[in-house]
Amino acid sequence: MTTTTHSPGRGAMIEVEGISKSFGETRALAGVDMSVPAGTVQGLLGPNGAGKTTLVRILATLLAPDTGRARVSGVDVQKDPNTVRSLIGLAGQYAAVDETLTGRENLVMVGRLYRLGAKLAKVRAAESLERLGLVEAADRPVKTYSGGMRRRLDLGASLVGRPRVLILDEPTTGLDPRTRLDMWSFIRDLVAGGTTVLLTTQYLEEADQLADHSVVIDRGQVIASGTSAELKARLGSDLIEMEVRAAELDRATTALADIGCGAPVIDQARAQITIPVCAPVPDLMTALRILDAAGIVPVDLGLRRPSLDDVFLSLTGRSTGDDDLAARLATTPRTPRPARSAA
Amino acid sequence: MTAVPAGPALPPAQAEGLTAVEPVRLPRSAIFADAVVIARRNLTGIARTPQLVVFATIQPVMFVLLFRYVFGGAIHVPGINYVDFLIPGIIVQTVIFGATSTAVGLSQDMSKGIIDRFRSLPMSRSAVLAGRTIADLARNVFVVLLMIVVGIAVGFRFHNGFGPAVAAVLVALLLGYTLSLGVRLRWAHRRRPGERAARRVPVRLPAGIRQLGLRLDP
Repeated sequence: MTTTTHSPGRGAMIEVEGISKSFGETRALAGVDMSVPAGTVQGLLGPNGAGKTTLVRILATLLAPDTGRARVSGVDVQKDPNTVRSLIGLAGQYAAVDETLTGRENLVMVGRLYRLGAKLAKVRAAESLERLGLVEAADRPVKTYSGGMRRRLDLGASLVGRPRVLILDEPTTGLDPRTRLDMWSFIRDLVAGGTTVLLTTQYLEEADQLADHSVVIDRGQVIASGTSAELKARLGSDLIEMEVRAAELDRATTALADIGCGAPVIDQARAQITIPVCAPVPDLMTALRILDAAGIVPVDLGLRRPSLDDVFLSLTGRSTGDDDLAARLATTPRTPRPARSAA
Repeated sequence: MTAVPAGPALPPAQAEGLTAVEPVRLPRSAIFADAVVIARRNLTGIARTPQLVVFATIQPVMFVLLFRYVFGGAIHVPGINYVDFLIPGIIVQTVIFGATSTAVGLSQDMSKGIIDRFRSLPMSRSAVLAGRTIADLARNVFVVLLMIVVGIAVGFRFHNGFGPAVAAVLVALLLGYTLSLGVRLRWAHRRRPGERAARRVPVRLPAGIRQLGLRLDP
């Protein structure tokens, strides 16, 4: 065993096969398969409690799966956790840094624990600090850092070991928009350097921005996967979204009955009509001519591509079983789903 | 996403730029090296957190002065000089205090994800525990010596010579080490309930010690 080397397979840096994990009665993961090619960013999307963090913890060797196996760079996470640990960097939802130490001391400590030796640990810590723009704050205790700086330092700590695989568990949750953009650019730089990234997030925009490929999981199962464009394409058509005066809603609905290529969704409360269209611009122009002829002036009107949020909601929301997009969107509440019972 | 091919043997290494990985084996010395890194981190933390230093040093000194001079007149222990009765008790109490106060530190490390970070590094597992308890022990050595100095200043004396005195100190330190190790082992097994208990223990202890003080009064 000591002389064998692990052989990674077919360029997949992370391979997950049939992983399941239960906590008592709760099934956190129920047979997840996933494969992440080297040098790419994989988005792992899902609502709270979907099982994202459980999968991350299994890949980071913090948790053993009940069944299935996972490999990082060809190394089995259960059979050889120490080798996997030397290959990965983990940055979590909260900044896992020591408040009483300075930024530099934190990174040197992590470097020592990556078994780098005192000198190299110092060099790598300095590198990391520079990369994340923390040089000026390097020798101040972390308790004087802002939330964004802590998060950057946490990311820095995961870089000290020069990991092949970076596992980011909701790296921007709770950050302000400006700091989030900074984090995104750091992550992009890392990917440009060849690091493979597994990025869990609740923000679809984040996956849209960073991920080459995304997997959507819910209730412990993969329910969709593909590039952002592919996921959006699942919803098919563009949408005309218009708001009219409440008194005119019925009239407008009747007038526009023949427009589009699917059943329109009527939101009575907001006096809003959403119509899936296959020929967006001509359909929009026809709709406007009809409304004009009927003497109805919409309060608000727009044509939009389905967002990843639409995909997310239509995939994870409670579906009626009807395949029709409009019906699914109509039954999908725009608010977070109510918590499921543990059973 | 493409499903992972459940195929047979995968082609060996170097496919599409992936290089083979040398297995990492932790050397036997890893536990010592890593424990030193962790212990240093914890001692730095103690030294830079004034509240902890105060808790560990000023408070026991206050207890000594309080019991020696304020309550001392009301407490009579038959057959022994009161101060010689008091100081060993305070030392033991301080050591117990120490174990619980740093237990809070460990529970914070867990809730902040620092323990997860350690566990995701190619380091010795036992070193986290060893480093913590070594740091606690080092702090206890300091506090016990301080208590002896303060004790001697208020009239406490060892009566049986140097050897037994050292032995007594070692027993106190061993007690502290055992307690902190015990607290930590409990943590290793029970996460959430343990954390909650950890926050409660330091609150409860002063109450227990007040009772102890009352019982000393005959």
